[in-house]
Amino acid sequence: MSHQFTPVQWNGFKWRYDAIVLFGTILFVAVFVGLTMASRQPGESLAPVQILIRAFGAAAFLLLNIILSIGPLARISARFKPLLYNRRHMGVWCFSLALTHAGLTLMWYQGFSALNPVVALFASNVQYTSIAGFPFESLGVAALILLAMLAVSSHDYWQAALGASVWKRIHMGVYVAYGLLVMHVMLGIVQEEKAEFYPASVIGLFCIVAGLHIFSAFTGRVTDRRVKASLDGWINIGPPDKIAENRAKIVRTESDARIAVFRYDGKISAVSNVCAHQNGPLGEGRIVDGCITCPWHGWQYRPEDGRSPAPFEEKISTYRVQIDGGMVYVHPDPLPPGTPTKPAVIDEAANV
Amino acid sequence: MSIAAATALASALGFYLLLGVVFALYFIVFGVGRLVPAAKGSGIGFRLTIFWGAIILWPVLLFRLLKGPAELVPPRTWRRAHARIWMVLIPLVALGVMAALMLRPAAPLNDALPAGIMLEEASS
Amino acid sequence: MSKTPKKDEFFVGYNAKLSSADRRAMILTAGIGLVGVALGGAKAAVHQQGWGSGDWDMGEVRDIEGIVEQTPYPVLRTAALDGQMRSVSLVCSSKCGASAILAPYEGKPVWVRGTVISRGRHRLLAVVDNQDWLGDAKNAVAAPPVEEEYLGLAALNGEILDAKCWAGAMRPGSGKTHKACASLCIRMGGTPWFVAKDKAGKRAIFVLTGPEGEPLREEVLAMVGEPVRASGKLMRRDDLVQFRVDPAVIQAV
Repeated sequence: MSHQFTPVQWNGFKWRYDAIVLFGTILFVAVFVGLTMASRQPGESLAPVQILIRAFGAAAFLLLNIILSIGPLARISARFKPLLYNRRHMGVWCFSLALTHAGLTLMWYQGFSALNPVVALFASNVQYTSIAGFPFESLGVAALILLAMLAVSSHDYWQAALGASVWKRIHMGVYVAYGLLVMHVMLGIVQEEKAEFYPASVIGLFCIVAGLHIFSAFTGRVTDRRVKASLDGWINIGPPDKIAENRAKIVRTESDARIAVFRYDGKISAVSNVCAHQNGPLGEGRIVDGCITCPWHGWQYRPEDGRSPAPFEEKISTYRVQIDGGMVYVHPDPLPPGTPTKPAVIDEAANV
Repeated sequence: MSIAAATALASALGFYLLLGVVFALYFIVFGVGRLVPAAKGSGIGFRLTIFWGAIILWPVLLFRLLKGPAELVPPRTWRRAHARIWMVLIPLVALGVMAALMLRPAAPLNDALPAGIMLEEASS
Repeated sequence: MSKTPKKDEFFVGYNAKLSSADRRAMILTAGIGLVGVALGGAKAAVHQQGWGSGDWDMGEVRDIEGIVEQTPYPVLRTAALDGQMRSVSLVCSSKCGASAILAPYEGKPVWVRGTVISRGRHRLLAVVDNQDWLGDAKNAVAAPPVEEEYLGLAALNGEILDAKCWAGAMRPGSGKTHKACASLCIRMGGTPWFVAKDKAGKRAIFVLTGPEGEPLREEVLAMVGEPVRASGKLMRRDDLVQFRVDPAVIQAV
């Protein structure tokens, strides 16, 4: 939102959210370290740094799987939407865990020599043509660089500075990082360890994350067929009472745009379904205090002109609407963002 | 990778980040508000938050400072991009995982170790 | 739980207020998540294979006297109580080799200061890099000639690893995740050992050298930390057995 930028706009929900994530991390690391030490066989000795390397690596990987599940979960059930709200803190935290894992590894395995540890890392393994000997470290480095780009650009400022589409492209890199990390784990610790638990859990986690994405894509699709405009160019979206008060109906046009048609105070207005903040689905939001409110992060727009209330300056496209013969019609051509449009009045139409 | 190639790569990386630090110092003082007017007059905490990103993403920011801010395009959803990414990711990861599983290095045991050599318990 | 919240239950993050149904769902999610995380951590911990024995007491600095032998890798030959010669491998405390400083003392009686790394019957002395750790022996040191015995040809499966890492500097100090470290240690002057195991659960440790007993380093880097097969001559020198192989015939298996 375009008022004064601050590092984090804290509130009670974010504090509780972050506290639970922090507690979960401590719990995971503590249980892992504690049980690794407790399950030690007589005569075996342990290196604390090496236990921590594993603990932080596993924690970061598990957290990334959780983070990637939130998006599709929120699509599948609205109950999960609050999880979306502070997801970026989890992302930055995930990167911090991965960085700790990488830092400890670099220090412990590649440090203590006359070579620069980074040089040592690049030079240490050359078996790129072998699966059994593959330098899985390089996959981790590549993923860490991608996660770093995501973490440092997670503040809303970056969307404005880089442009929404560059920003989004960078952040889609999380999927590339995820793929790299699955292989980093498979070619690293999974090849080292004998127990089937490790490959089984990596494959299981990947199947859950991929499955949730596929499932949510298909369930989204059923209610999301493209609607043809009639000959005069307007789309019939049915009678006004099919739209719940202060809610919207989403239509997908032939040119693949989504329009959110809101009903409020006996009026109908239509805006783009895509929020200017994180491209959230405005049509799944509701009218709060007279403004369309995005379900993801609560950004608001006036239904009449698609503009955020002062002091904010965001604008989204609006669409022309009319009511004719008891049916709501919307015109699929978007008006420039922030264009005032006349809402269709339901009662008046009923009187005609 | 040879030591020479590794050194070159690490130096290039270091140089990129060094330039990034120099740029970021400029950027958090002057560039922040030039690129996004709403950020003018923002506090030190916010500027420090931006600092790390400016180190890593400095080429994009420099480009934007020179060419002017990004064109305002109407926001769009990224569902199709998501679908495409998963369509590539799933088969690739499946292939990689299968290869990693099939070619798991299993320490091959010897039928017998040479005579006349002191043997130890393998587990010790 | 209904799929769509009732209209008065709309979550707006910055209001930080959850409807009671959302709150219950979040508490449930967090609870399930935390239990899952704890179980995951527990399973991941208990399924790990053994970390191996091996110990490096960095607190106890000792002076040992003996004869320096540099080839193929630095050792200090010391007489055990039974009169047999024991070889203590001399390694750096960090990742380097001790050869350069030892060179003028080849074959001479010396004292060496360091900390002991031990695993099973294997003893290494990590010299204290940053202070005086070497000088002419203060006492008389027994110096019988090296006892050498040819033990025949062998073709063995096993793993090339760094002696110091394996014996206690790293735990675990072998295998895939340790490969990059072992390869760095050997490159920088560490001693490559060859560990072979048999089906009866026994293990033999060899000092890996070239065909004429010369040191191998750069030549074997790519093969470190992987299952390999190698063939060559076995040669006992005092209590160490050398596996003398042509690095070109070491193959991944």
